[in-house]
Amino acid sequence: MAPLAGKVAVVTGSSRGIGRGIALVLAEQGATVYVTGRTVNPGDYYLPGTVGETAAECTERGKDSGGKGIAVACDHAQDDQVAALFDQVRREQGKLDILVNNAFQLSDDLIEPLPFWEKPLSNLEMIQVGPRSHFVAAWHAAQLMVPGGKGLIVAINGFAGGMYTFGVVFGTAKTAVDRMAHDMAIELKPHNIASISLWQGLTLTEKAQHNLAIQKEKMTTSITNMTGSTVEHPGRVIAALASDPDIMKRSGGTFITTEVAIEYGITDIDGRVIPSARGTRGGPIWGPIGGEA
Amino acid sequence: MGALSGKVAVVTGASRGVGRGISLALAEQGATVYVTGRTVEEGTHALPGTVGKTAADCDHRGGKGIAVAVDLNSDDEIAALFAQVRTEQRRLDILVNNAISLPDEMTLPGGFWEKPLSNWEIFDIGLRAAFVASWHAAQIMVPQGSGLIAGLSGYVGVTYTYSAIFGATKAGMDRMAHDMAVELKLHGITSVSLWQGFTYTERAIENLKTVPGMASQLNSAVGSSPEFPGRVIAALAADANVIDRSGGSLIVAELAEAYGVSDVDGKTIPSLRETRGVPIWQPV
Repeated sequence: MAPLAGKVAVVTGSSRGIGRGIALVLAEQGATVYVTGRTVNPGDYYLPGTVGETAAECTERGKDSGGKGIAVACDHAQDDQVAALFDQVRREQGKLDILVNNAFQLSDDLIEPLPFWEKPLSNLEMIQVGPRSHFVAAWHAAQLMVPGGKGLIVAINGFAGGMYTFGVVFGTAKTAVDRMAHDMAIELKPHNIASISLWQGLTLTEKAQHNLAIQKEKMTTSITNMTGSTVEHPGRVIAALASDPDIMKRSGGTFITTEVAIEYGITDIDGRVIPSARGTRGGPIWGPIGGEA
Repeated sequence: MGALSGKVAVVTGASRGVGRGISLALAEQGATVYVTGRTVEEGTHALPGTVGKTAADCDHRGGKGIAVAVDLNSDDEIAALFAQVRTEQRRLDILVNNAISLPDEMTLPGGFWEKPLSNWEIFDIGLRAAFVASWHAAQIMVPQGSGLIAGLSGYVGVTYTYSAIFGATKAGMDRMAHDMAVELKLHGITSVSLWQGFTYTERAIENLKTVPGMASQLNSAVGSSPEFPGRVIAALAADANVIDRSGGSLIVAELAEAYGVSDVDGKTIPSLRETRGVPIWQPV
């Protein structure tokens, strides 16, 4: 039986990018994946990908394992749409095993080298679809997970959680995400639900490739010199975490995705081992909760 | 003449509590303090205190208080506050991001999913509004090439306390102060996060009576008056080398020791570094 057969997952922001890669791998390993995002029609966004296309790919990738994709149009800045998403999961599945909080609104001017007071206040969208939307999704997910006494909530985050990168709002949002994953773990521990944050390094998403092609000079070499992974690499790591009977030992911690991959013996889809950027980009702040809870 | 004579300050959430104490201590040193908060009339909040009362008390302390009704949920009201400061003073020396919303459920037992989603107000007022205020303050401070932005945080910045949202808010405050310092340093502006310990505010005194276990957890020797952090901020604002501290999360009790500041009753407040946690972010 496939490792995630019978499991139900929600992956936010999975029209494309890291969310799409995670959704595909979870489906391949047997999960039913709710693919959420704003893009319903091709051409609605400047990069390719829609929730429907990702969901169809999930079903294709899951044809041997029983996994499938279910597309749900959802703007994670809208609380009522998020509530409707989790209502649908409850109605259709009656449970939830995995929430991947991947959606994050990157401001269009993110990598412009300007200080915070010279960028528009609308940059706070990185808080709105960032720590706030993570919290709202986790709040609904916990309602579904607590009665079943198990579950995994993963935040997709990055090295900006510990090191100045691109600007004040970005770093603040990333630190808040790591800390929230940690403190949620303390409250969720009695219910056997794990909450972790993953520091994903450079990932060759459609957006990253676009940015590297046209404005690489605006990024620090500590990023551009990183070995990029495919979007499916973090999906492989999350699938392994979701199948790990000892997952609660990690709860509360922030982990570098590829360090977890190396522990589990996971490579990227082309067989490459992705090196950790800890030496140049720093390490996480919050460890597993251990005796704290 | 006070150490802050001629200086202009904005203190958020100053109808009562720590914000009121800071306002009074800054005014005592001669500053003109914009006292901001939501409470204009007594009786509209469960606890006593209004922006007008705090402003009047600032006048009695030797500085000047200017009451401004501001709801930090409204970006427009925050913008109007700083427009008023610019029009009336043409400068801003000190911004104290003190305000936070602490819903009653926060100190109750229960997981985040058992409390209303509206508890996110902790983050919206405690961190988001602090960013918006700092954004406006920087527009005034950068051209003058000086200023101090101080955010109120605490040991909750590293240690789980009451609520996942509270921790994320204060960890975010510490980080924000640090990253702002990176960008403001070139302009001679200081940004710090201040770890204030237990404070005998009106709210805390009520909570001590009603929150189960709170009184027994508290060693009464460690609590300070609301004016204590104000005395420390006054010392920071008067320190010609304050920028050397920029970017750090600083324990108020340790700064007090460095500056020779005591509480209003002469008491020394101990640092809880050993038992309650160590700041993550250092000066840039």
